[in-house]
Amino acid sequence: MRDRTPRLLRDRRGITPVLSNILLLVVAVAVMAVATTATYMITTNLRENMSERIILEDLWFNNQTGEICIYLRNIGKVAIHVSAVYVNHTSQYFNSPFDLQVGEHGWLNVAYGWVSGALYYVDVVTNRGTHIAGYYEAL
Amino acid sequence: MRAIMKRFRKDKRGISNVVVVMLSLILIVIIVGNVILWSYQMSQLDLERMQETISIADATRATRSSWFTAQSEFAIAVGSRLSGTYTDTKNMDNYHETFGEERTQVFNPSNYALAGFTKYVSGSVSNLNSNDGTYMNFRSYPNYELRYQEDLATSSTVSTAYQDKVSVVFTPQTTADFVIIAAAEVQGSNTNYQAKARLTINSTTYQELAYRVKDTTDWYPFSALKRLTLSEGASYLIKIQFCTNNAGGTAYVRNARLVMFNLQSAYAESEGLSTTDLTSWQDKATLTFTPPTNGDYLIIATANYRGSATNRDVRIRLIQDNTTVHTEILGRPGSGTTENYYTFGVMRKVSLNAASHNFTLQYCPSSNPGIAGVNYAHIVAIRISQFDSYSYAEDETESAPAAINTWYDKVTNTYAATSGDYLLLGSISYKSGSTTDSVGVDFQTESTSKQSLLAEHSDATSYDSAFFMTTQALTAGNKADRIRYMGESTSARVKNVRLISCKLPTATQTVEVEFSGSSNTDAWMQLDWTVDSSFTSTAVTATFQLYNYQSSQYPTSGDGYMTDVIGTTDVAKNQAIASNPAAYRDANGNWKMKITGVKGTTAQFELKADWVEYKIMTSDIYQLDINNSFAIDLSEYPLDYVHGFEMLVRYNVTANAEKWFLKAFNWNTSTFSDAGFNNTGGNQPFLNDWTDYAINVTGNWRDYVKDDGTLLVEFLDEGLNATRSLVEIDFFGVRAVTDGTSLQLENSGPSTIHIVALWIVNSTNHQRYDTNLFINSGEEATYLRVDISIPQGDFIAKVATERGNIAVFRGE
Repeated sequence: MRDRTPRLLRDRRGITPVLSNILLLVVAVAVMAVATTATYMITTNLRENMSERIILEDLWFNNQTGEICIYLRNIGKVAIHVSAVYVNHTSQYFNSPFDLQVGEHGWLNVAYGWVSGALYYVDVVTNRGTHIAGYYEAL
Repeated sequence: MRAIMKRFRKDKRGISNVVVVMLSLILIVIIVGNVILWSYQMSQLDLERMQETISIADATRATRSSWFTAQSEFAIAVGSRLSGTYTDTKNMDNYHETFGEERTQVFNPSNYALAGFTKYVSGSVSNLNSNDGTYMNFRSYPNYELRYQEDLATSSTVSTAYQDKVSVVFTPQTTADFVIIAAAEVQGSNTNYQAKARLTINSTTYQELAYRVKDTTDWYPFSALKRLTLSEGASYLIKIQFCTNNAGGTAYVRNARLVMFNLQSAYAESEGLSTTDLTSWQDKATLTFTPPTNGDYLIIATANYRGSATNRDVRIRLIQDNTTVHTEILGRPGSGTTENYYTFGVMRKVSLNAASHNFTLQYCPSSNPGIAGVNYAHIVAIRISQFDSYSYAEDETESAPAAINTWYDKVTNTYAATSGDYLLLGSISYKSGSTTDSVGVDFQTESTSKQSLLAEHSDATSYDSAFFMTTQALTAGNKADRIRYMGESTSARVKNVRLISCKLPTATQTVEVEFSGSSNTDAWMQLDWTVDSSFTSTAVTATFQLYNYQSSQYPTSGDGYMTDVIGTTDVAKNQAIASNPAAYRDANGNWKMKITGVKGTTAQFELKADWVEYKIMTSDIYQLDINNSFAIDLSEYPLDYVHGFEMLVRYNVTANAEKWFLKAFNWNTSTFSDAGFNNTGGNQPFLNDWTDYAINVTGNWRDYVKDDGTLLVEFLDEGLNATRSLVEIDFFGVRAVTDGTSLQLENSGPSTIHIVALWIVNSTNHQRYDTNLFINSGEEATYLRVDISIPQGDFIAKVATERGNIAVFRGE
């Protein structure tokens, strides 16, 4: 043992390959971790975007409150968050935040001064970009 | 190949490239695979949704439920069933049930009243309407309860904690005042210590003796008495216990007897310790009562006394009406003085007139300075006539033995016993007359010693008293009970010696219930009354009595009286009264009958009344009166959404001279009524043709429908027919009046549809209702909701499926 230690200290050619291999290993692991995380995030976003389904069960021009009441039901496989409601392409205030878990349903009340007999284009947009839109006549 | 591998091994960069490419490919495959998989799943979901085809064919107001028909045979109050069964009345078809009018009318009890301590157990009077094995149960009660326990062997202990000698667990069948009497003898092995005994009930002490041993060969008496109200069904632990006050002395006990019974009694007590230094008599406890009539009473009294000095006496006596002294003693405490408590026990038979009497237990010290103390003082008076018979003997004079250690009869009670159980009591005042010699007393029944005491007193003048007690089953024949005595010296004395033998009443159980009902005041030709019943015990003597309103009493023979010995099998007792049947109803047609079951036993049993019928036959009118139960299905038609009910009977009669009526049972008033009906005038039938008779009830309908949805509907004639007619019933049903919604749905798609929401929309409201309805592919369904009312005017009904499709129906 006493004979080997001075010899190892004297042999400078043996250290360089070890350091370079370790460095290469660290870099490779880091790159793989970044790649895996990116893959997970990409696939998660893709999955959620593809899994979002929402239906409008009822739309009520409510005489008593003066609001447009929209009854939504989440029939998809992910929770939804309504990020905007447009009436005639103009963003409107609503009972925000409005979230529906999978299978949940409820009234989305839009503060809008509608006029009886008029036709309105109502567009509900989720934070993932799903639109549910249509023309509705106020009766 | 070898060359390629060799080159590969040399070219390190080539391996790295391959690894990187492989990893990248894996990531790409994962991403693409997931995208394809999720895309497939969602596409499948969308495809299924697109294939769903649901439509609403119609949406209408549901104002009536389906018909609910009879589930059991019709009960016939008047008339008879000739053919068919109730199942023939379920549908309008060619099958029908036929009834005939009769001149009889049947009534059943509408109420009951318990007599004595009879307990209601289960069932209701409606269970008495038919002989169907559905009972109304009542539990019997005892004439009295008695419990006796003894342990005659000698037991010993050196424990200073009380040890059980006799222990009884007792659960009364009725709540009553129980007289508890205990007797025993104690002995101690060391004259420096005490032998103790006590009576406890549920760990509470009611009599306690702490006898300072005077002579280790003596047996000192323990007499205990208590009256306590014991509650029905509660468990009581009654004990005679004994111990020593020092482990240096052994305590012994023998001839321990405990009896308790609930014969009627008068009672007084004063249990706390009272002391006095006055040498005049002080009252400790006074029993004051007035006998209802002249009669003999058994007076029993106990107390425990203590003195304050070994040269002073304590005097105690029981005095009647401040004049007659029944027993008076002079007690001298042993060493330890106030630590010691001695026995005062007395029994005597007295004859009392129906005036107020008092019995007082008094005490005082014999002289000053001296303090007398008394506790646990009890006095009870039991009217002896409650026993079947008794024999009593007494000798109040003082007697002395002519020779030492020789037994002499003091009192002999001779009598002719009949077979049965007896309670035997004796009482005596005794003194040793010496501080070195003892006096002995022996209580014998049938020449057998039952209790035997031996006592040496602390002073030659001391007198003590005690009573003896036992129960015994005697055979018929002449008996001689004795109290004997002896002295170890001729100074011994005995007096106030009494003996009584009381035959205990035979234990019986009685169940007694009175049923009452109503009838009519028509002219009756005959009255038939029937009772079908049994007991949960064999051989019960049953008596059935129908109250006679003209003689104002229940008959004890003849009409209105039946008796039988009935066991556990139902027996139908029937009697026809043709002579003056109207005597068994009051001016309003009310009647009552009494059922009594008696058996000589201590075990409780139950009367099972199955059927009680009071059937009358009128002189000339033929009638039909039937009824049956109908049940609205509350799972589909909850009463909260029901607005009334309809009844329909389709019938055919062979005579149309009278009208027919429908009535429903009002559960609040317990009568059949037609109040609140849209038609109370009856229905005039077609002759020999089918007639539909419908009644609608929407006002006070809730009075007629029980909480479980049951209606009891009656169909009867007007009561005018002098000739007999037949009635055929093709349909008899009840249905609920509702204001609900009925949707006709159709699934024309290839997959099963799950409807999760129903919308009813009009100009003023958009209302959503949760639903849970599955419709198979290609099927139609009627969806009924009684909790949803369709609005007036135009409306839209929508249903939404779980997958997100919506079907719409526009209605008016």
